[in-house]
Amino acid sequence: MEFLNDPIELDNLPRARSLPTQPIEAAHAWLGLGIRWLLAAAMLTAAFVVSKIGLRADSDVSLPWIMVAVAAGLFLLGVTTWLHRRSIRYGLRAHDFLLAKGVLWRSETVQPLCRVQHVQIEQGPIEKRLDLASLALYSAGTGAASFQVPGLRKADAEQMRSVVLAYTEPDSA
Amino acid sequence: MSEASATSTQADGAEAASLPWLQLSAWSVLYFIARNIAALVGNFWTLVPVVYVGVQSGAAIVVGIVSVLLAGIVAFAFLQYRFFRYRLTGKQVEVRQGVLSRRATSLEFGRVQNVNIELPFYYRPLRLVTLKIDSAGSSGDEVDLSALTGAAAASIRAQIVAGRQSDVVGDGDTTNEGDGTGDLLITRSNVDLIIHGLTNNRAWIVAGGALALLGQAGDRLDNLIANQVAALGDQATAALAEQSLVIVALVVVGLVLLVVAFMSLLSVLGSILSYYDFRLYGSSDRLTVQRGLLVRRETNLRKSRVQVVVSDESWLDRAFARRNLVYEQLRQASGDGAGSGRDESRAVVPSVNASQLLSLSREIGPLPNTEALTYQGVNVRQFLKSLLKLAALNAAIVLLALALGAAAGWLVAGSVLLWLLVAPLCWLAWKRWGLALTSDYLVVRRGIIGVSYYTVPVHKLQKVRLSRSWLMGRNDLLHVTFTVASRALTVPMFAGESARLCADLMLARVESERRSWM
Repeated sequence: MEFLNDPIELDNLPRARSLPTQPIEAAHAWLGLGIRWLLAAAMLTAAFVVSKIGLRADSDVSLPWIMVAVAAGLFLLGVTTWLHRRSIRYGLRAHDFLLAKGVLWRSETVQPLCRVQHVQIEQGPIEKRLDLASLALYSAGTGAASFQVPGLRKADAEQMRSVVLAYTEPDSA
Repeated sequence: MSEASATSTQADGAEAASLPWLQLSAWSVLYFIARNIAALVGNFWTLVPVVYVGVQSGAAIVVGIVSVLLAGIVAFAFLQYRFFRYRLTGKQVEVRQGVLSRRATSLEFGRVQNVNIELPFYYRPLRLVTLKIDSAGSSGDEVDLSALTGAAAASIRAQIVAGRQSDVVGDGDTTNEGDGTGDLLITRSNVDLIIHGLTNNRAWIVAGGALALLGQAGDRLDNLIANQVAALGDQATAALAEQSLVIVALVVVGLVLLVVAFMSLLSVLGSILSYYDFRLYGSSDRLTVQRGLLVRRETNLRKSRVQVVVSDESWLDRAFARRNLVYEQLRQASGDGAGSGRDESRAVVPSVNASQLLSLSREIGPLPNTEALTYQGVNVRQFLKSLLKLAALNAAIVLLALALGAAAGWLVAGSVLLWLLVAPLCWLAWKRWGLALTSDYLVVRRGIIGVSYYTVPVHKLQKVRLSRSWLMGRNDLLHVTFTVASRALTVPMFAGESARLCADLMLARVESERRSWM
């Protein structure tokens, strides 16, 4: 076997850290917040209704308070979801895709394009209204193999998908 | 199934259509019976009603139900055999099977990961084998051809191997050596297997089935056992109350030793059952493993598809100066259960010594001698973090004990003992963590008392992830996760600059070479 041990020029090594990244659409964060706050509001209303009309004859007075606590939890969850989604940034280089996310617990994942096995664009009913889509890249390996970029404009997602597909095509032939 | 196989079926459809469909030998009924029984036992809860009814109303009913069940299984197996058709075109193996719902599978030779020949005990007298073809794609695509003669199975395997090689152009040397399994690399004697059974817990091979049955048995059995044990316990405590503390301690130690001895015996038994007469052969591009006492298994793997070479050492392995070598291949995302014994994605060479391990690992490529490399360790905060976790555990235990009304003296003694035992292990675990990057290989070192090494060819990296909590950020520390097709390897609390450099170097290699990971 031919053995090469070329010196590595560290100054010329492409560094993932220097890659400029861009945030995902803010609408995705607001959507997450909105859904959770709506649920919280619904829960509060239900708690109000229960405390007014039902169950007063029973001694089960704690039920509305449990519902209020759940509503408070949902409210907080909305805030953290918003913060988390606002922190998501992505960057596309010639040979790989970078995804950074997290506020207190930050992570950066780099997915080389030559390892992508298939690409998928996902869009829920509400996301469709807001022109949002998420792009998922799948590589080989265990369950945690998926690489998902949520909150993209549909057109952007499609454009990135075509970039990834164009990259993988000559390789797989 | 997949798009790729669908198109290729159309492409050579004209040629393939002329080939006749073949039927398995009638002996394959035995295979289908065994598979159905295994499926039934695997879903043991389906038998719970039978057991329940039996316990309620006597043995005659049980015999009746069991014989009806068996008759059903045999009849169904016969139908499965009647409906099973297969054929080999030049490029793929096609199977049509199913009694109630028909299923057509076509598996391209290029997507075949392993071809295994198994000699189950019920085919021993007949000298027949089962050929198992595993796909590199989704699980459920496997093909089993049973009741073949050894020669027929070998010829089918040769066809598949030849098809695979013609598929891969320019992948190393293309010497087609047909069915030759290559040179004998290593065998394992019964002594080796006994050592393997003692140092590694292989008891599950024997006990797995029994435990599954026990665990799912009805309340009746549970209560029965619980009552017996309680009665026994009462007697024992009554007897022990009159003895001195020394005697009590001796009895406890004796009981523990008894349990350990029993488990070891089971483990040795399991080790011999699954690895008896172990042989590893190597050719230029393939490794072949033959092993097993009741069921003789032959596993084939392509060297180029090995993703990680693991040198695994348990604390007892360290005492015997042995390690297990594991060749890991692509692991399917959703296998059909880890306990099914069908995990052919990894080949284990049990209990080898250091020099054997090195020479066997170099069958895959010019791997570094992992035990001679210099490793960069992880930050001392990893050790502190495990001490904090230990403190939290200790506090929880103390609080619980206080709530239950334990004496303060015992609590102090217990806590000191816990710290004396576990804190050194935390320190060892921290010292073991290490990462080394050679020009072609990434090696991760980890362990507590025994040390394990995971060697990954750099060009097989699938993706890399750097993560940190907000506390780690202040000291620029990162958890690094390297994902390959068989596993994800994480090194915690690694110096940030080294982690980023390592990731960038590996990415540059993967992306500039674009070599196949398969």
